[in-house]
Amino acid sequence: MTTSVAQPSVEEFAAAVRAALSDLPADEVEDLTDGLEADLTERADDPDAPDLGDPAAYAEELRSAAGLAPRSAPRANIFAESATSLRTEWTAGVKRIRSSRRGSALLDFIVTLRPVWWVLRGWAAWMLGYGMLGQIAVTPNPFEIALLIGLCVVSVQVGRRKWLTWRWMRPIVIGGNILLIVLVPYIFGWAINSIYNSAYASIDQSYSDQSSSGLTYGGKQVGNIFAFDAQGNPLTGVQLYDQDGRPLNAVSDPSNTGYLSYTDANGNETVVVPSSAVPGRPGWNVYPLASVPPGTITDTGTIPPTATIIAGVPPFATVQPLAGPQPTTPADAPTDAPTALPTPSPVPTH
Amino acid sequence: MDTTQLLKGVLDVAVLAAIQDEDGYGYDVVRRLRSAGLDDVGDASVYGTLRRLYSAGALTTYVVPSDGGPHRKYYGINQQGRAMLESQRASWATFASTMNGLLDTKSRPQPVRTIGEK
Repeated sequence: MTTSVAQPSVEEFAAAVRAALSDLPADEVEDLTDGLEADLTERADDPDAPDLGDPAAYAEELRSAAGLAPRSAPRANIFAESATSLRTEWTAGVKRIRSSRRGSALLDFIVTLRPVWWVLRGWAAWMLGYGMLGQIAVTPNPFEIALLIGLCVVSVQVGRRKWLTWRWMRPIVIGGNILLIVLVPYIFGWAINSIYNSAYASIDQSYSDQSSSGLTYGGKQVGNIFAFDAQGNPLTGVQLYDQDGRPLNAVSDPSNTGYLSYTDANGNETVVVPSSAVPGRPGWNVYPLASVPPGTITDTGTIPPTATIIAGVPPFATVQPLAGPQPTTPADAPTDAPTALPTPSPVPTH
Repeated sequence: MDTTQLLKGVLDVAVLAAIQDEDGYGYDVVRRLRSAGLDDVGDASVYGTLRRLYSAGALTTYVVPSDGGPHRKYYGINQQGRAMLESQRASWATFASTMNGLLDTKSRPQPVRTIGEK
């Protein structure tokens, strides 16, 4: 019995064959070489058996007979080799950091933060989806929130190696990670910018809401107001104030506005000007406002003092008188002389 | 003539035939083929073929522990394997008779000349 003598060479040969098949998945190698030692041992005892030859050639023969592709092509080999060397260097680097106490603590700290990256990765993927659609959700709707949560769950599960653990997924996950790491600063900048812009836009919106219009009714600008008394006769020189005692000016910036131009329902342009009878300020709350011919406005946007002032013409000569007994106000109290404006009492502070 | 090249095309049917009557482990099958006259058959080729036929569903396999030594992996033919063997046996018979006809010098037909050939 020569088994004891042949045994080491059998082991060596089998090991060399397995090494030559190392590019295959482990279970494939196991299937191919299961029982190899037994066969080799028996063969070694067989005096008629021809020379076994080179283990690499043996492995190649085994591989081709089993219908498997020959050992990876040179180009794929370079890729695999560089991946292997990268992994080796990575491992060595980690080992170097781990060798110092401080480095080890730092590494542990970073490893603890890994779940943060997983969630961030889900969020970044979500943002990237919006980037591709060309819009950003500062206030996402419920579906978008559900999508965000879903992506974060997938990301965390991938991170925990619970989902998508197939071998071929690994390069995709690694590639996606690298892409997101590169893009995360941009995505952050973009998100902050968008949030800032939208906040600014809403501030701007409210600001412009306040500033641009004086009086509006039903969303449309009110250019002039015509008041009628209880008998249905038009009034002039009516001073209007709101519930807080503020003058109901036709323009929002009365002291700096010289005229207000509006177009009525018939398409006619009217340029109204404030009453000059209010002491200390333009009488933008004295109705009806008088007007000037549109052509008199100068190129610089001012109205020459020589311009013809036309009294506001009410849309109706009279309106229907009110029914029933009237309050104590005398019917002839209003005067049709705009210059005889009574001083309001109490005098508003504005 | 290099018989290893010829062997490659018929190894499947040869291995199926070698285990059609009795299950066998790797080296056992190699020995059967050698004793049948296929001296050039390579061990690894036989093992690889067994593995491939098993993957294709033509064989069954089971492991038998051997006394003191490493275990042995036995292969047996199944229904599908037998069907495969029969089909390949017929193919081989046709192929072999065609080749025999082609190579038999006595019955070789005279080449027919085409028009214009001198």
